[in-house]
Amino acid sequence: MVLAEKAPPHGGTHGSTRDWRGWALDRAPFLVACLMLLVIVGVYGSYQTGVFTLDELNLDTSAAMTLMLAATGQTIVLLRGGIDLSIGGMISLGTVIAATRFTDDPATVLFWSLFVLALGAAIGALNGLLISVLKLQPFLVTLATWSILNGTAMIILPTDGGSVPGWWLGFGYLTLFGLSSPVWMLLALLLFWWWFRWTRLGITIQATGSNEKSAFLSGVSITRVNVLTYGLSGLFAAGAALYLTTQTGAGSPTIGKDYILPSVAAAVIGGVSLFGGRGHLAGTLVGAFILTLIGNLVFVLKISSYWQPVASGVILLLSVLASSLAEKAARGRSA
Amino acid sequence: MRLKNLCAGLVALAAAAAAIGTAPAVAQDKKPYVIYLSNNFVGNDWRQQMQRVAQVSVDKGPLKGRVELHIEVAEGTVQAQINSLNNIIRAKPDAILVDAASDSALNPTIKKACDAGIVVISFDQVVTEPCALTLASNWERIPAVMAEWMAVQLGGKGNVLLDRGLAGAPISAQLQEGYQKVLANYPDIKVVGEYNGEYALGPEQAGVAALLAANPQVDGILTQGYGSGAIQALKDAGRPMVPVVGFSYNVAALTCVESGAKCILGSNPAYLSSEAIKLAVEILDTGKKPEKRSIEIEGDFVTTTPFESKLFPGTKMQTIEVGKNAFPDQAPGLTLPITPDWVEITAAEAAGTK
Repeated sequence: MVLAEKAPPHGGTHGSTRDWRGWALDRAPFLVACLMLLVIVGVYGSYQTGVFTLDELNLDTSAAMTLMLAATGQTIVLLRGGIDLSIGGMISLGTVIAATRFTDDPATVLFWSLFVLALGAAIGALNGLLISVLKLQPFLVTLATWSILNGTAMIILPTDGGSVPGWWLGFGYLTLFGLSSPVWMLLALLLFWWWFRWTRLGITIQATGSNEKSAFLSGVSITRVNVLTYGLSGLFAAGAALYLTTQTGAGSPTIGKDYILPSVAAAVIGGVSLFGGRGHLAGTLVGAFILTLIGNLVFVLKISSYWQPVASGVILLLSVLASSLAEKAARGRSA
Repeated sequence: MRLKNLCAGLVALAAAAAAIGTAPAVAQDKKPYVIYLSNNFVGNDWRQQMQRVAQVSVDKGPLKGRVELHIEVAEGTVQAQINSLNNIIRAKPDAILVDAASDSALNPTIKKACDAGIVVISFDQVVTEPCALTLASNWERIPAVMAEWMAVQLGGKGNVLLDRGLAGAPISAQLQEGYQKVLANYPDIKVVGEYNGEYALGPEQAGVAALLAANPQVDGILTQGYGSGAIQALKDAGRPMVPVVGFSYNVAALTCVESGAKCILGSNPAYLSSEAIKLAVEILDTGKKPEKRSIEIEGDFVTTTPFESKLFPGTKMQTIEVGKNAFPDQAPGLTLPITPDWVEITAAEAAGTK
């Protein structure tokens, strides 16, 4: 019963048991996020020329993609009802490995890229294992692994530096049909989600996040779910690290921390519940766009850049409010 | 004849057209340069003073009306500064001045700005991208001159304490090595104790106090911080004042004068930003970049006891005069000297109290 109640409500099979108001309430936080994005783009477009062009889309997506990748992993963890702080350490470690190991030889770059991705998945899986086996709080476990990964990154490269090949830096400028590679990555993320959330694993993660006990009672292996959830988060964080080096051309042992809370904020703004089971990646990606575009907006409005964190905070509050109202309404209906 | 007239008429017309054509060009020359200052951090006194003096130095003096200055603060993260720089590049300014979040991670973005024909000067925390000029204090000169001063005060003989700064910070190691390199020329000067001052008054005072307790004879203290923490530790221990080396914060200069300690204070002037603006305007005016990529700024030392440096001949020293170059009514964290010599910036303007 609980499984059916909290399962992704997109499918017609579940829709028949709900009225349209329920449908709208379920999506309220996401719709609010979309509305905010529309307003921001609208205002931005009236001050900046060429906002409604592919160039602008390419530029903004390329600026937001590191956050989007990190937030994709975070979204999966949040849907499971957890949180992953270790992505900060993984991103730092990924950039320093890339910047110290990459050479001009594409085979070397490929090898170390795969190594970083595998490492991310492995460390994430280890997070999941520790959380399940030792029955520890995800917050504490990933706080510890964040610190370990961060320290490791510092040992490899104590200050910003290293280098990546010139052609690696050109990645973000590759275009196909006028769309840059980050935009294709964005489409790939959406496609991935469209497929993933209906897979057995996707449904199980959301069900477990919604109600761990009943998921367990219906035969779900919590350990397996945790290992896969945090493994995916680690994998996406490693991807974020590799993408980030195409933007910075260098490794940084401290850069990862800048994505931990924004990845949570992007998800929450997009309507993902911190209590698990509720939300969509599309919302998170909208949230990441909002957080990135606020910076552009503050810039073109020529107001002090101190307003950027203020605006981000206000938007976060509005989103949390929308989520909370929607959740209350949803609970009201199921009662 | 008629043809000749026609020709003359045409020439006159052409001349008139040319005159009209040049008129807007002259007007364009007078249009202020659009310069963006991208700062990644405002969490200390120095960065705030740096931003304030940047603005003051285009509001008066020789640069008045020449520069339209925009200051963009990028929340302390590399990603935010990259995004902010991308926005700045799209605004097509004449020059960008960067106090950078990372010496290397901004490089591709800085390169993009250079490729767009924008003059890029990185100052204070500089970048390694070769297309950007760098403007920073001469960090070799500062510790060398101060250690030399200490040796002169001690007559080449005595026991000193040495500040290691902040563990792991590259600038700390550079300053410590700078002190030690010069002191090594004086075999009778012994470093009898080292502590981590961490650029804060508390750790400096505690570090010095502990070493004073362990060493009955201390003749000089080389700090990397305020110096006033070391002076307080001497007072608390009831020890005589000894020569102290530190950095040129307002509180340090005032404490030196009050306590009667001999001091020399090295300066990483906050007006690096003003110098960067001036350099940008020079490049834009002449269309020529300086031959050397890195420009070193040599801020005056602030001292109770000026001397002639032999290691860096011609090094300028300002004698501390309360009210003139040290200000009891201004913030303790104000960096001295306040103003470069080509514009008059007041202490109140630099502190933001006016």
